[in-house]
Amino acid sequence: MFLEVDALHFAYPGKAGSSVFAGYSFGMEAGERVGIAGPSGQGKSTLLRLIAGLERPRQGTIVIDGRIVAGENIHVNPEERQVGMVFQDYGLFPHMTVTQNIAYGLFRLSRNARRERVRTMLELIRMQDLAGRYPYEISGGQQQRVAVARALAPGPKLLLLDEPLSNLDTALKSEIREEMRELMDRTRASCLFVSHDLDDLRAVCGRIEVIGSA
Amino acid sequence: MEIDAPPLPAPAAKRPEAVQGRVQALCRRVLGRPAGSPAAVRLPLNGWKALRVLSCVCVLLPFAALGGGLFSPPGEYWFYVRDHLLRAYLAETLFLTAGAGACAFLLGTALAWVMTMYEFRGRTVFEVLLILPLAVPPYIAAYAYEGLLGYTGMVRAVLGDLFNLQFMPLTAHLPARACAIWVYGVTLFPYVYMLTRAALRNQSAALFENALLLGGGRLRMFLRVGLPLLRPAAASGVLLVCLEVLNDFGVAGYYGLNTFTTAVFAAWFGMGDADTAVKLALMLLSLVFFVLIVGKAAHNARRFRIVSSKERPIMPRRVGGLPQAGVILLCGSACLAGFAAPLLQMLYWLRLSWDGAFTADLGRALMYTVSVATVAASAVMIAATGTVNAGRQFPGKFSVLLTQGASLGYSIPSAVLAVGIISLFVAADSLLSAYFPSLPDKVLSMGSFMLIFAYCIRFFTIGRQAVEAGFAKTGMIYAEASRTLGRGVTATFFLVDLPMVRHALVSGSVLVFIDILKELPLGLLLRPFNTETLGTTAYHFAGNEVLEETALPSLCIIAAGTAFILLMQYREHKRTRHVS
Repeated sequence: MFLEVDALHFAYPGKAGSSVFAGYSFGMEAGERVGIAGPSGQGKSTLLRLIAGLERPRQGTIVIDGRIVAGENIHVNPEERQVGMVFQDYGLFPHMTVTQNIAYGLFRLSRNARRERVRTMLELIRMQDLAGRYPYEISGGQQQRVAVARALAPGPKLLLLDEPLSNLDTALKSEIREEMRELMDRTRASCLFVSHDLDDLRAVCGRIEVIGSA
Repeated sequence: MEIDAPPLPAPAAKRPEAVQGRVQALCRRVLGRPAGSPAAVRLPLNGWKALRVLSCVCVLLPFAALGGGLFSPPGEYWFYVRDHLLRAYLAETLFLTAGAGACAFLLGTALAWVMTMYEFRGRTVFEVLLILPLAVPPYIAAYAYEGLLGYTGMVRAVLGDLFNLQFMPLTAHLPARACAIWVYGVTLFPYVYMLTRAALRNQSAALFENALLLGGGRLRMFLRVGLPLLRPAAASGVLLVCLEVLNDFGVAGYYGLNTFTTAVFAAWFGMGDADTAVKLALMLLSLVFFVLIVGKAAHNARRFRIVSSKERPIMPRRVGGLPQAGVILLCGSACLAGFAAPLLQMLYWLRLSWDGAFTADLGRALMYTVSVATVAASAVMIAATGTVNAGRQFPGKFSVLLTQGASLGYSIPSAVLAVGIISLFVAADSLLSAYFPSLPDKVLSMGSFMLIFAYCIRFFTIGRQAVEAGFAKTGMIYAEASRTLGRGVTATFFLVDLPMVRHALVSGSVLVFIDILKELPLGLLLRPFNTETLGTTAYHFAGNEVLEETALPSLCIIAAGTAFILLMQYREHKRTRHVS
């Protein structure tokens, strides 16, 4: 297994008795694109946050590519997990341009390599002309593409997508959904896609897991 | 198109092999089992946590030093104070606090009500003017009122000239307590006004429309619906006013009132009895805790939640004729009493004292105040930013407890804080001279460091609140995005968090800077010899009955405060317009 989540227990602090996960297990293979569906409040986004290292599980282990990243007395920080994440609100840094946003995670590369990787990503999302714009100067769909490009640019082992299409209107959504599937096909990234919309998941993912009573 | 670029190199291990080995061995010894991936071991402390602990401990240290005074043997003066003066101190302090609180409550809630419920001429101007009294420190207002209402004051002169009225000056008739309560009330009411106004704005219009439909008129609506809903906010505002009064030395000292704060000064300066000063400071501290508990209880008692999901904001009702005149008179009087009258009196005095106003001493006081305030404001913001960022990145019950403890610094009267700090620094100096005899004598307690340290502790909470407000707006999403892109907590802070909260940091530092300019008791007790701040300069002039000379330093303080309030109002106005 490329990603193994085993017997995961988690509850948000201050919410005694209402655990989000009580012994949840899940796995996926390298290169696989898995969709996570389920009703609101069942922990879909929390699962992504736990895998990314933004939350710490109470019990259970998470293994990514053979490395234990969360377990008993083990917590690998998010910046050391090599996991990319696209947030629901994209989280594009408002004080940075599109180029600077994409280049943000490439600080370990040389300047030339960084420039080349940014150019490739901009080509991939077809936004070369908007490279110097700030996030508030581009549309919602373009912001979503930049967020995906930014997460993919450092070449993460696993890409986590947290309802990245939920902020788009219906007409734009189907267009972006297709673009996204195409993008995932090209990059061949292992991907975990959370959405409450099954159409989104069917368009992008090869397998769909359901959390809670769907 | 395929992405054929190779994946990025994995993040380098943070600790070299030798260190990793030591960590593993340590974990085996402590936990009784191997720790798994060495890079993943949660170490108990890092730089951010250390900064938070250091900041909070620094804030709490003087109070610990003060606690030591409980066990020191009392001097002879203490017994005299205990037998003859203590009751008077307590009565005077409670009377002033209650009086000022009541005055501010009446004025603040009435103004908040009319400003929210009614549309009248000049309402937008009053929106700004009603906050300006906060720019006038109460002790400066006290000097100004003495000038306005005294023997040679403007009021007596104008009435005498116009109507040939000859009467004793008002300040000679009124008891000093009443004058002090008036000064506190008219300068501090904006605390109540701002909080109740904000609370009123969040209420649904339907509540008040229903109250009107059910009969009883507007007064009944105010008393039966408005006041109960506003009670938590009003209680918080009154609590702030009470804390300001307990902290005050300038007004009580000027009117010769025997409060706990003036008693601390009298014991320290007048009698040279540090032990008695410490004991009085501890009593004042107990009084502050009592007021905090009462205020908290009043705030929490019978809080209400709106049950409707649709909240329609209150639309102010247009008034004209006599009601409009009444509302304008109320708002205008509050602005006049709290801001315009002290300002005009100071400007009048400046005109009288113009020729000799710009002395070298005043220039030195200005320079000293500005430099000390700049250093202290910067230190406060660094400590506050570190503490808040550590709290959001590494949350935990201990951190919350520690930060809440450190926030008490703002509630503690300056006189108490000063006594604690002097005790601490004297002890630290003794230790230093014992271990490092080559160092100059009293190296810590003789310079400006002690004063800067005190300002940092007193205003740490203001800085923290400003930083928290900035971070609350940005949330965690940007920091989390940055960390999933491979940046650590520190790099994330400098590259993402800091640029996004910089406006909040600037506002916070300016606010701390202005508060330091206005602060009097700490300057009086802790400034180095032969050094004055703007506040202490005005205080000494007033003490020597050369009130005209207080004009320039006072106007510098008022001008800085006014400029800040106007700037904040302008930014808020721009933001509201942008949102709407």
